[in-house]
Amino acid sequence: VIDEKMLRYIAELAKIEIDEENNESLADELERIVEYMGILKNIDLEGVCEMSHPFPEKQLLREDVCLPTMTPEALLSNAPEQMDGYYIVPKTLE
Amino acid sequence: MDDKKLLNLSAVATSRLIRKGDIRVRDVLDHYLRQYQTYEKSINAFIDFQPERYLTAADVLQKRITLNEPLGVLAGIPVALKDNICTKDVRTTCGSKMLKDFIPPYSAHVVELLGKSGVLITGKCNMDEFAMGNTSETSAFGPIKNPWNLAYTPGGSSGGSAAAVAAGIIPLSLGSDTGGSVRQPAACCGISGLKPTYGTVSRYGLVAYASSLDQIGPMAVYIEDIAALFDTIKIHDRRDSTQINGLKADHLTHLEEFMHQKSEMSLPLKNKKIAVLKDSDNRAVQEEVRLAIHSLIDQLTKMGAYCEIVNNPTSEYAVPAYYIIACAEASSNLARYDGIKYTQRSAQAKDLAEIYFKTRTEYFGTEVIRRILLGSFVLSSGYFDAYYRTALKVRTLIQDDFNRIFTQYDAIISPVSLSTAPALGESLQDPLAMYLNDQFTVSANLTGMPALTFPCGFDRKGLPIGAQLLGKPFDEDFLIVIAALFQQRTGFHKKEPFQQNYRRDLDETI
Repeated sequence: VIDEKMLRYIAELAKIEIDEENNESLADELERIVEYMGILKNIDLEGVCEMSHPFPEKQLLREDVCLPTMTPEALLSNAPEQMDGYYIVPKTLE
Repeated sequence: MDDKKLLNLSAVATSRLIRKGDIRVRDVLDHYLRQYQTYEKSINAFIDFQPERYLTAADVLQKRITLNEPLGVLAGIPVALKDNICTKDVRTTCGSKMLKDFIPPYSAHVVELLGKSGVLITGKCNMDEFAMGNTSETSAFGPIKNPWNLAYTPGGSSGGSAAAVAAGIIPLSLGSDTGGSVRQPAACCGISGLKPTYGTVSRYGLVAYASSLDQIGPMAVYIEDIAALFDTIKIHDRRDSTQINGLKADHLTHLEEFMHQKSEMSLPLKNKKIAVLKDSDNRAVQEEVRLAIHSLIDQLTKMGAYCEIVNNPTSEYAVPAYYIIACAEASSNLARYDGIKYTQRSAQAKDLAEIYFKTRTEYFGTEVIRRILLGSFVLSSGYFDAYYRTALKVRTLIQDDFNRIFTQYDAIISPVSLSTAPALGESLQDPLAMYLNDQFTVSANLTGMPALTFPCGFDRKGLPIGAQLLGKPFDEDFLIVIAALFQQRTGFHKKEPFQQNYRRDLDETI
């Protein structure tokens, strides 16, 4: 399933650069893992529900009260570049 | 009080002496500081350890004690945190280059609770990068060594939290468990570790790996300390909507009452039924591990429990379902590291797209990239149904399977992993083999049930062997009781690495 073309595609989705030199060995390695995961396809899952959370979830609502939150300065304090309460990124529109 | 006496006391007993005024907080911390100075260099268990900060905190706490302020059962005890638990103004790296300079502007809920109850946070523990790995070799801060044998790994991903406790540098620690990351390193290092029922401990401030599986858990030498630390961190938090409200935090009291009433009885586990997973006897399991599990079963039988081998038909599906779900959630959770919000940005990047690509490629390690790629694949259009949706259905089957077992049994026993700690450098070459070693631990995360591991033997190389108890959701009490009874009757947990012989002079017979 995972050949070099597929690897390039998922790397694009994941925003990861793939080293062309190791492309083939990485694809092989992922293919082995995915092939192993494929054993699940042989199970009869007719009528089985999907489970995305261990226990039945209820939507919990908090009381609508005002509480102090973190300041924008604190939240931005780890940004590699920031100014006046904004993240700085290179120009995105010409 | 001398070092030998201190190491022979549980943290609960030590804290009692501190609160009575029999020993000073500083004396306890000085002891652990000496341990740190002696052993840390050889094992690399810590990313940050700041004695100045906590000695000041110790003096503040000593005053609170003098003023008779209400404090918790672990007041005055030092604890170390896995470095994916956020600590306000103290660097939290997740063992990754990506977060090597990340200073959280807030603390995790568990950190706030520890502070309130008078527990002293003394350091941040080394770990597999973003908790991905089971040997602690994927850390950007160098591999951790197993205190029992420095040529071996301590397991992972909470390897630093486990190794630090085993080496006696710290009496208690917190790890996080997504597929076995508290239990497997605890087993490899000869200590105990609890993966609580999903939803009992707030994940607020735990850096997310796979949110439907992650849970913070306590690690310690003594089971009563596991109970006490679990009580301390399970108080409800409005900021984690998956945490269940209204749960009791009285595991230590329950344990003490049980031990007081029943531990001297000849059959304290009378009328209890314990299932032994059939795979525990599989040939893939190291022979000494199988024998140690047999001895444990004998011991439980002597205490009155009825132990029986049971088959769980979905066992071979647990690892593939786990890795599909964990990688899918990881690829989504780790999308936030984009070169814009979290400290690192590639110097090579010229435009916005390059910021994403180059930062992520430069600052994530190999195993993290591997899991992000796998996650992106199983979530990609055309493969979503075949892999991700299938895994979610298999997750239901696995939970049904365990629910069925729990209609007839009170707990389940298995080994923690197929073998004792792997040697350094042995596992990373073959990721699939490394994943398969998680066979016994991942089911607890997929189903949400609690799981407790404790030492039950040693192999020929002198490396510890761990047993795992699985319980009904929210029934940590019973697991804690079984492990405490076992510890009362055996001495495996009292053995110490580095030949210090402090705890070794106690009864080791089984």
